[in-house]
Amino acid sequence: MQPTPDDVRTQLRRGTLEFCVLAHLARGPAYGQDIARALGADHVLFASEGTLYPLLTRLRGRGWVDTTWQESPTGPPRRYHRLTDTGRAALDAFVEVWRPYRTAVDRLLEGPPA
Amino acid sequence: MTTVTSPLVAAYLADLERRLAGAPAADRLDVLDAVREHLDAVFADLGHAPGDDAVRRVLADLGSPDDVAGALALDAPPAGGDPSPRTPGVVWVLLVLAGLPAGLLVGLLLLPLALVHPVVLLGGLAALVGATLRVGYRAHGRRAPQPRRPWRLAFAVVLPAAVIAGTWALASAAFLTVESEAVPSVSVTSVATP
Repeated sequence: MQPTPDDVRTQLRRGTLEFCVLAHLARGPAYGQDIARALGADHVLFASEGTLYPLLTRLRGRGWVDTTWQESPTGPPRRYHRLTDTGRAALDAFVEVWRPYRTAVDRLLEGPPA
Repeated sequence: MTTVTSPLVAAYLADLERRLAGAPAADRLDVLDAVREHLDAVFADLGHAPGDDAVRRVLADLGSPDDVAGALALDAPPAGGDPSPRTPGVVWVLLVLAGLPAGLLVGLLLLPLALVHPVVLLGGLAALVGATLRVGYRAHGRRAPQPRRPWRLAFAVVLPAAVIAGTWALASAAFLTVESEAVPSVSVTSVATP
């Protein structure tokens, strides 16, 4: 069975998306909707915005993300997410692996034939 | 606290709740609240009461309830992949074979109990059966907590051992009883005192 581009994206997201969320939060705390907007804009990282929320639940369960309630400029207080120290350590571990991993894949795909 | 009370939104949330039914309650409520909050925020940003088309578009961006609920289950082992390493058949055979001499040994240890009193032997056997059932439950019980693998490995030894031990102890006890009736108490005391 030949995988569709969507299948491939789903597989790749499975291992990377949570770290993309951590990377976004590393820039500063954010509301869920802001993360959804930032990561979901081009539909590459997210298939759909809604998958962010279960993901945040899981990250909180692992202690990588801390959630508080914050007054919002419009309407009632909203969930406000920030990276914890363990979350930062997890992101660092990911980055350390990701760079050489990405390079290896790129070299294989684009480099001259061995 | 959904400000927009669209039947489309209500149906979506109800659907999502059903899809999340298998998740822990805290996680389920957390996701539902966050999705509600997202909808509130998006509709508030519109600045006016959204029509059905707008609601449909926002829900489509959110993704199907299946997709959203599925993202919570990603920590669980992916379907199709077996997360636990397979135990080769030869290991199971060796475990069962190891259970046989272990059973003989345990049966031998049970035997002095028969010499104290048959009731004590029955107590020992009951304990043996109880322990076997407990290991069996942890190994194969539908509601037994994870991980069950170590218990399954243990059960492969314990079950044959218990069967052998029980049979062996009962048979020997029956034999001894017959013997001791023939030669009263002599063999009994000689075996019972260490």
